[in-house]
Amino acid sequence: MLESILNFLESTGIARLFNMDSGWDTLKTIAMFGIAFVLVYFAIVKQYEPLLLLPIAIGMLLTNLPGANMFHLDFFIQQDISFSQVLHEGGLLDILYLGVKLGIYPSLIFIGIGAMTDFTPLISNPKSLLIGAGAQLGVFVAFFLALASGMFSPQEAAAIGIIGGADGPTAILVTKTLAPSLLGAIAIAAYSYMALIPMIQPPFMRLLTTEKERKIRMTALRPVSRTEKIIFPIVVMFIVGLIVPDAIPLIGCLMFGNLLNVCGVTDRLSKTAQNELMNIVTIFLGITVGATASADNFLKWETILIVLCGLAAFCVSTTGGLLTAKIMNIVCGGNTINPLIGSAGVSAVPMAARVSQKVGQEYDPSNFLLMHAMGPNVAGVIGSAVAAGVFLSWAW
Amino acid sequence: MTNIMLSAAPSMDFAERMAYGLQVFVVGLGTVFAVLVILWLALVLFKVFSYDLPQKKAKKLAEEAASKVEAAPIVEETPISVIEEPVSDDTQLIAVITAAIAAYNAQSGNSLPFRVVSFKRAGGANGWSGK
Repeated sequence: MLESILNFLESTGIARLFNMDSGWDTLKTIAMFGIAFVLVYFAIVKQYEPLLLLPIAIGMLLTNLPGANMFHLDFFIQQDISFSQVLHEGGLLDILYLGVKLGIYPSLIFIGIGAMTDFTPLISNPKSLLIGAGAQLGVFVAFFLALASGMFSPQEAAAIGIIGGADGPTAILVTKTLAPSLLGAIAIAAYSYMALIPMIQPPFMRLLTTEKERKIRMTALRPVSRTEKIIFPIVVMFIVGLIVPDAIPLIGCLMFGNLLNVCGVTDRLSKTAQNELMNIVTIFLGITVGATASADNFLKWETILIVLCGLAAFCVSTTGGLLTAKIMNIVCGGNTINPLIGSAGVSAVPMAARVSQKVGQEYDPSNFLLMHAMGPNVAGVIGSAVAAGVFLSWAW
Repeated sequence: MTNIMLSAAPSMDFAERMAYGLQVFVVGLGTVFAVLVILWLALVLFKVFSYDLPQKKAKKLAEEAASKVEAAPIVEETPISVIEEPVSDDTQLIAVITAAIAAYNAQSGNSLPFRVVSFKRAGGANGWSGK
C-alpha cells in the first residue's frame, strides 16, 4: 500500500520537477511557467494579439509540465522525420505539430487572410507596392546583423530576419524549414512585436516626417471594378509564381482565399475560410508553436539575441517604409503622398494601417488615412511572402 | 543542401560572413523590389483597360448621344405626364440610420469619429430598403 502511494507520488509532476538532472533545469522550467503566465496575462488582460498569444502561452505551459510528454522537439529537428515514431510515441501536440512541420497551417491561414483582405486600396493605388517593398528592408538588415553576430548559421539568420516582415505565418513557414529549433523564440518574438506595433512605430513616424508632411491630405481612391478585383489575385499568383516559385505556398493560398471572396459565387467557402477554417488552424498553430518553447530550447542566450534582432528588424522595416513613402512624395511634387502611410508597409494587417490613421489624426483630426494606408499594408503581405520565397529558394 | 551550409557556417570568418550577407541582402531586396515593381506595372495596365478606357468610351457614347439629340428635328410638343415622387420628411429615418451606424461602429470596436455629410436614396421610392 505504502509502496503504491510512493510510486504514485514519484510519478507526479511535482516530484519530477524537483528530481530533474540538476537544480538549474528545475529553475529553467519554473521560469518557463513564469513566461507562459506573463503571455497569458498579455493575451487576456492587455488583449495583445489574444487569438494567437493565448494558444502559444498554453502550448508553452503544456510542453514544460514535467512528465506530460505532449511534445518532443527532438522528433522534428532531425533532417528526416520518422513519421512512424511521431505516430507511435508522440503526444497530441507532436501529431498536431505535423501541420507546422509540413507547412500546412501557414498556408491554410493565408487562405483565411486572403478571404478577409480587401485589395481594393492597392489596386486603386498601385504605387503602394513600392512602399510594401521598401518596408522589407528590415528583413534583410536583420538577416545581415544576425549573420554578422557569428552566433547563427545563414539559415538561422534568414529565419530571424523574416521577423521584420511582421507576418506570423510567413515567419513560421520560413523558420520551420530553415531553423526548426528556433521556431518557438521566433514565433513568440514575431507575434509579440506585432502586438506592440502601436508602441514601436509612432516614435519613428514622428522622427522621420515633418509636421507639414503629416498633414498632407491624399486624394480619394478611384473606384475598382469587380472584374479588376477578380483578375488581380490570378495575376499576382502568376507573376509571383513565375519569378519566386517558393513563395507560392503563401501567395497562392492568399490569392486563392481572396478569389473566393471577390468572385461572388463562393460565398459559403469564403465565409468558412474566414471563420471556421481560420479559427481551427489558429488554435492548432498557436498551441504547437508554443509547445516548441521548451525550457532547454528557449532559455538560451540566442533567444535574447533573436528578440533584439527581431526588434531591429521591426524598426528598420518601419523606417524603410517611411523613407520610401517620403521619397515618393518628394518625387510626386511634395504634396501628394502622406509619408505616414509608409509605416503601414510592414504587413501586420490592419494594425499598422490603424497606427498611420491614428498618428495622422493627431495632427489633422479630419484627415482620414486609413484606406490609403491599407494599400501599403496589403502590399507588405505580398512583399514579406516574396522575401520568404527568396530565403526558401536560396541555395544555402 | 542545408547540412552542407550548416557545417560550413562555423568555418566562415567575419569577412566571409559579411560578403555573404551583403550578397543575400542585395539579391534578396532586389528580388522583392523587382517582383513588386512588375506587379505595379500590371496594375497600371489594369487601370488603363478596366477604368480609363471604359470611362473614355462611356464619355464618347454620351457625347454622341448628346449630339444626336441636338441634331434630331423637333416634331411637336406633346404633353408629358410627370409622376411626382411623394416628398416626405426623412429626418427621423436619417436619425435612425445615423444611430445604427454609430452603434455598429461601437460594437465592432471602431472608435473613429464620423460626420454625416449627405444621405442619398439608392433609387426608387423604396430606396432605403437597400433593394
